[in-house]
Amino acid sequence: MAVPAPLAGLDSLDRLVHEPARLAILTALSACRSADFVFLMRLTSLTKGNLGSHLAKLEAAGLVEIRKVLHGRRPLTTVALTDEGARRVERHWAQLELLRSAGSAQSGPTRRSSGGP
Amino acid sequence: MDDVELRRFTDNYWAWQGLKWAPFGPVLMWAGVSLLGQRWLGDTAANGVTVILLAGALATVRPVQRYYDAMFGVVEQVPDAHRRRERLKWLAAYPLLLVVPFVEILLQPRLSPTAVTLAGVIVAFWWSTGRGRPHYVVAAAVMAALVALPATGFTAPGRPVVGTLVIGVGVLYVVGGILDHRELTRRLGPLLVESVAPPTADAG
Repeated sequence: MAVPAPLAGLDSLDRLVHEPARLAILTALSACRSADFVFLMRLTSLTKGNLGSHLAKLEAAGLVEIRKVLHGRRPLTTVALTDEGARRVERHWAQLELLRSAGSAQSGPTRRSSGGP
Repeated sequence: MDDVELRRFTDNYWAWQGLKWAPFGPVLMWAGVSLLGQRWLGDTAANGVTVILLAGALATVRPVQRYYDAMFGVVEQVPDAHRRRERLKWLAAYPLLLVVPFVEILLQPRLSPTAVTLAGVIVAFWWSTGRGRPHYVVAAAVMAALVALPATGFTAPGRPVVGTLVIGVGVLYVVGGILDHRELTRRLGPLLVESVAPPTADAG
């Protein structure tokens, strides 16, 4: 069966970025200079191990930078988006928006025609 | 949260840490009561209450910030990301909040310009700090409705109206702060810990 035209673009999605937890992490990081591990754990509802594993993948791909810093007297693990990470997440959201628009354009006439005689 | 909400929330995380604002509510409420012309306390005692409330509120700032940092995490904002907001805050919002109540006390108009200003500032705060939090919209609507307060005869125009409105802002600091915190905890889930697999029956 042929893939409907609007869905054909799904193949070109960045799979590393598209995974929901990683997309949430990257999107949140795109709105700040850095965020720490606790914030990202709460935001994504991931356990420490799962978050660590996602961040390791993103760091290996050069999308985020992980640093250990001192916040007052408390050690803190902070995560920041790299320039490449910022580009990839923006491109990904733009791509999703295009797919959504294409999907709406495709389903619009179908819905109208289904209501006809 | 969709991507827009997620960005807005992360960008304005500091503003949603409502327990930081709540302790300043009693300070404002007391300032409002003082504007109404309370007579139960002498001047010295009244000034003492002001100092105690203000010192108490200021003393909570660092511990509450430490609580948010430890329990909900730390977000470093993009420097200069909100230059326009900061400019408007310092050049328009704060000067208006200082000048308009004085003008109202002096001129004693039948419609309250302070209520209009407060409603506008509340909406501007809500809009520029990530929206969400519907209680600010409700608070702004209540403030806007209080424009007619002097005309109702419920309070005399001028100083009593301004005092009543300042008490209202104090209440908003407390209630809004608690509701901000509630919204923050709704958006940031619980801290999950890895579960340790229970020992199986045939273990050992």
